[in-house]
Amino acid sequence: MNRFAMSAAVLMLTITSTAAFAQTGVSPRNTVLVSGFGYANYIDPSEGPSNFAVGLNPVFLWQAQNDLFFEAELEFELEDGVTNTALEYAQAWWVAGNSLTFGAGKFLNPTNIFAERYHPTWINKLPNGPLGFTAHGGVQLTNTAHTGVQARGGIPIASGKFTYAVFLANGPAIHTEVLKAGPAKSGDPAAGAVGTLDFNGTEDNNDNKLVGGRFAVLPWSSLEIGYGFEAAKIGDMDSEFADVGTTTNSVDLIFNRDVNAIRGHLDIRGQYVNVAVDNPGIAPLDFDNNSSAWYSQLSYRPSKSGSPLVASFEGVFRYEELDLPEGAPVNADMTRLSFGLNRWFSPSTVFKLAYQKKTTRDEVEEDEDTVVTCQFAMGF
Amino acid sequence: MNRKPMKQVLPTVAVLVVLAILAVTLLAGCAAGPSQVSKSGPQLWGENCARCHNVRPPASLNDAEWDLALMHMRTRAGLTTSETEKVGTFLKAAN
Ligand code: HEC
Repeated sequence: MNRFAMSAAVLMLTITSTAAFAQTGVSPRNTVLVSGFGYANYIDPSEGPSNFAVGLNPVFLWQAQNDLFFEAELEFELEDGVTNTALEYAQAWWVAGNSLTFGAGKFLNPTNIFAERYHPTWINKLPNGPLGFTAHGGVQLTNTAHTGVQARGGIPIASGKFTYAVFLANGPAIHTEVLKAGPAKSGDPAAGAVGTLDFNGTEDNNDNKLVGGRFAVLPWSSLEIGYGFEAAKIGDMDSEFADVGTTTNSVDLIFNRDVNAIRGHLDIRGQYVNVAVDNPGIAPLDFDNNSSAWYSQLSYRPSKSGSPLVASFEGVFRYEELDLPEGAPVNADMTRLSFGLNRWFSPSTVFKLAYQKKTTRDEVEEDEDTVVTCQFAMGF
Repeated sequence: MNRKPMKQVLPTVAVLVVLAILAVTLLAGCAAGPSQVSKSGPQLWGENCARCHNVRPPASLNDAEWDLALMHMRTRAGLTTSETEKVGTFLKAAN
């Protein structure tokens, strides 16, 4: 796959840039839109201090031609007295045809639907993301964003739709030393544990490129079922782990529609992900390294209740599980239950109140902690 | 590469089951209703633009801004060029 992957990527970039140059003479439209979101949190855990927190994520959209487009999101977050910044995504798009667009740059992972669709705080119905699918809390199993190239589109089939996204990217590395890359931004030491994937590097550690894709069907517009996969070599080039590979499989389901019988809008979403890492039989990676995570979320908004006040409230319930390999140095499994009540002031302005109970279990003990979070979020 | 077989079997079965559901729902669902390509701008807007987030009213952006927002959204939502154009025409007439 190596050479082929590289050549395909180079070819795609060349086509994209050639198309760009071919059209620079005409500039029918050259506009910029700044959108994005901001939020303020108050987090009160059962153990440890309570805290206010704040973040701002501006999104920049720029269109040079009808078929050439650039999108980027920055993240500003206050943490430990400093402002952390991150380039969440920055991607150039070329619309090549009715059902085909090419993108190059850093893009949200199409196989992590939380990252790609629900991470903005005005979209996410709870103040945080599910365990395993984000960098916050526990071990992250599936990447938030990739650096590489992608091709995607939607193909109408009768009254429904088939969508695809395929990509090549640098891909993750594997932690082979204790906290090689340091704890991720969650501050959770588990995030850098031996045998877990390191998504922090933006440069590859070998010549092999990650290959991934997500394919979905929408038999009706209210239902979407998707399957995603990713495969890559993750060991450092020329190290004894050079041949260690990983395969990720995921399935997701999204259902949402107005339901007259319950006078409102019902939204169900969930995803299951499994990550298998090869066992090279060499310490410290000589254990069965198979992890999985899943979540399902149900929310209901009485949008057809007849009362604007009642219709502005929304109830949310989410259940999550994160299962880590038994033989791994960090192997505590987690479950989390979340209940949320949201009050919407506009389609993208919301006040959220959430209660979350997390249970952490390993061979010896079980630990429970609860957190109450208030979040005010605005998308613009 | 020695892997524990049981842990491998479960995900494989899960994936196969979902693939089977995919195939069946696709066949069953696609057969009913108006064809996707004949759908109008307002219908496509109603069906696609509330899937991930609350619908932003047409008046919330001007024409040039809608063009940009729709370029941003077409790739996320898996819209074709013709669907994007139909939704754009509708939004720009209604804002
Ligand atoms: C697959 C999920 C999804 C679908 C379907 C979707 N959106 Fe979005 N939309 C998003 C996400 C995610 C953002 C936030 C982008 C960000 O912050 O990175 C967003 C942001 C927006 C914004 C704010 C401006 C911007 O572009 O960031 C507007 C306006 C918008 N969407 C309109 C629409 C319209 C109109 C449709 C229907 C054609 C639509 N959306 C369909 C996911 C979706």
